[in-house]
Amino acid sequence: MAEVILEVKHLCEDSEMRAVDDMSYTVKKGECVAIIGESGSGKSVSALSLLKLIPYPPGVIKSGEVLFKSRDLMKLSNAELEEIRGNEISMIFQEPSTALNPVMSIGAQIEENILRHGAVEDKNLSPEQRETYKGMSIPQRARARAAELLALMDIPNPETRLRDYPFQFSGGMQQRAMIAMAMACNPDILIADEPTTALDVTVQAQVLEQMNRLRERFGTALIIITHNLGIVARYADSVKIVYGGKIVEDGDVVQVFRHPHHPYTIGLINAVPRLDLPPSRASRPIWPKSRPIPVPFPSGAGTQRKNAGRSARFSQRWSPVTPAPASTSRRP
Amino acid sequence: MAKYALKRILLLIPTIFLVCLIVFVLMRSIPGDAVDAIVTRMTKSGQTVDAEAVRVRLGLDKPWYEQFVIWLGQVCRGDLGDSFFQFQSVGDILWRQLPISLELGIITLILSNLISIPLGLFCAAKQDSIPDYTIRIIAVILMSIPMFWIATLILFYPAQWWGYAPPVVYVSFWKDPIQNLKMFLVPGILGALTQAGMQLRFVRTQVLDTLRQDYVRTAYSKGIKQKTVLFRHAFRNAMIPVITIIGGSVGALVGGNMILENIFNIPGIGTQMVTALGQRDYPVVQGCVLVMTVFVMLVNLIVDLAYKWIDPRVKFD
Repeated sequence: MAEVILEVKHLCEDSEMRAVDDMSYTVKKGECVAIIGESGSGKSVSALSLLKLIPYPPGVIKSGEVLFKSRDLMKLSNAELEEIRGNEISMIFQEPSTALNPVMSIGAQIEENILRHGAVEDKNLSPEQRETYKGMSIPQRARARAAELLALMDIPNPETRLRDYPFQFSGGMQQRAMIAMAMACNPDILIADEPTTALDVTVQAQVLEQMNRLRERFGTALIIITHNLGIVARYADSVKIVYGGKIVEDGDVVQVFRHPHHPYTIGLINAVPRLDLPPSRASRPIWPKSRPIPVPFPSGAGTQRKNAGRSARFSQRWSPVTPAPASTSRRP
Repeated sequence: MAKYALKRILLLIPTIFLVCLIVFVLMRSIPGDAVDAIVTRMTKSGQTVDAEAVRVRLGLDKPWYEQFVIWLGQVCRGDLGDSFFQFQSVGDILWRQLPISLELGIITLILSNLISIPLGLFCAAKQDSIPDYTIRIIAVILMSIPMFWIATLILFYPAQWWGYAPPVVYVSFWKDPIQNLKMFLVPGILGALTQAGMQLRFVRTQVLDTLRQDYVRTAYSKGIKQKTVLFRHAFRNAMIPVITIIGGSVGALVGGNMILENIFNIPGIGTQMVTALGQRDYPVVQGCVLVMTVFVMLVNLIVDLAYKWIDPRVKFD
């Protein structure tokens, strides 16, 4: 078993609502972890919380630890976190068209990351890289490295494309530029927050294929947040199903997909249309209920009595199938 | 871009024509005219004048459209006509007084931007802190208090308390820069403060808006420091709408400071306009409006072209 590189323990995030409620999981070196859940289930917030990127105010990390290289990221100062962000743990986002600064050239945005973490300074280079970059100034090196990254992401004419602005790139190219930016410092972990949602299907496949190639080549652990089960089945090693801010099912991809236990997981898998079955059998019962709204359960004797029966049944049926500590009750 | 600029400059012509026509007609529909004023004045000084002769002499006996065509013809030859009262050509008057207004305008512009942009950025960076609230409240106060009232107080109280008043005799900047600035500084600051109050709040809103954008989060996810994010990522994007506001104020500066010019006795184009309007000095009013229109439109054109420089997405076609 590969060593554990990231360990999330009982992470809770509060804003107007509790979006992340007692999440725990581990990520191993070079592993691809998928976090699945519907919109609003807290999967994106949980990813942003890892690097404390949730908008503050109102978002607050209530409790929990995120252990990375034996340090708790939640206890680090802002300056220490800045050293890790983009360098050891980096992120890519859902909408590449809004996630890139429209008035800065692609090159400037990639180089910014390289220069920020000194990725092309002599002390951070491998011997062969030192040979390639010999006699170049730091900005020149950053430019060369940025072009190298774009080339790695299969963008043609990288040197000229560096001067382009995001609006001159197609959606798929923008996302690949984002990945190039995130990979600039060879991070240990790449968090991809719905990386393919805004892209069309063929481009999705290309982008994912490239991310996977990078993972295999550089040993970067990948945390993919998605609601696309196809992606998960193809690339992920392990999968975490998030529902109402909690991880309700956690396990190996094959095991979870073959034998889902939690009702939500079953509903989720049933929701994927099957082309290989006759229409009569292909339509299976899908997830009937709306998600639990992640607001604190109202207090007061009246509401408690009124909801007692429902919430008892609810918590009995919908409690996570992987062992997790009990938490506050909530509206079904 | 050159093609676009040329197209815009060509489009200036019909607009200017229309503005001139409207002003021309409006001026002549105001009750009382220059002839009455001249006759009254000369009669008072004991001369007898024939109103009809004056009317013919000024060319006001012809129907208005004929006057307009004649005036237009003159303008096309670069002659803005002569003032009815000042024994000077309108061209000379503008040449003398436009730079004065421009100087006041430029001082106001520089000061208001120097105040509003840094403070707006500061407020956005320290959102909802005590300094933020304080600056915002001051900004609202500056926006709401009428400028002419503060101007009057500033003329009145320092004079009473310390015997100080800003100079009231205009000296050219090239002759005596210090004396000149002494005269312009107080009205400049006053104009700037009013402008800055509004602009500061606008800058703050825009910066806050960009700070919530996805690309700012991306920048933070790269480990970029807050200050760098603010200046490199948020500021430039926030400036795109701010430039529009600044452009609008530049346009208003040449003619917009009539009140300040009058209060502080600055012989600029604003003062000139007010006097000319009172006297029904048609050629002067028409000349001033023409020059202001051209100026405002050119500034708008420059602002539109400046977008390209700040925002690469802008395309001209």
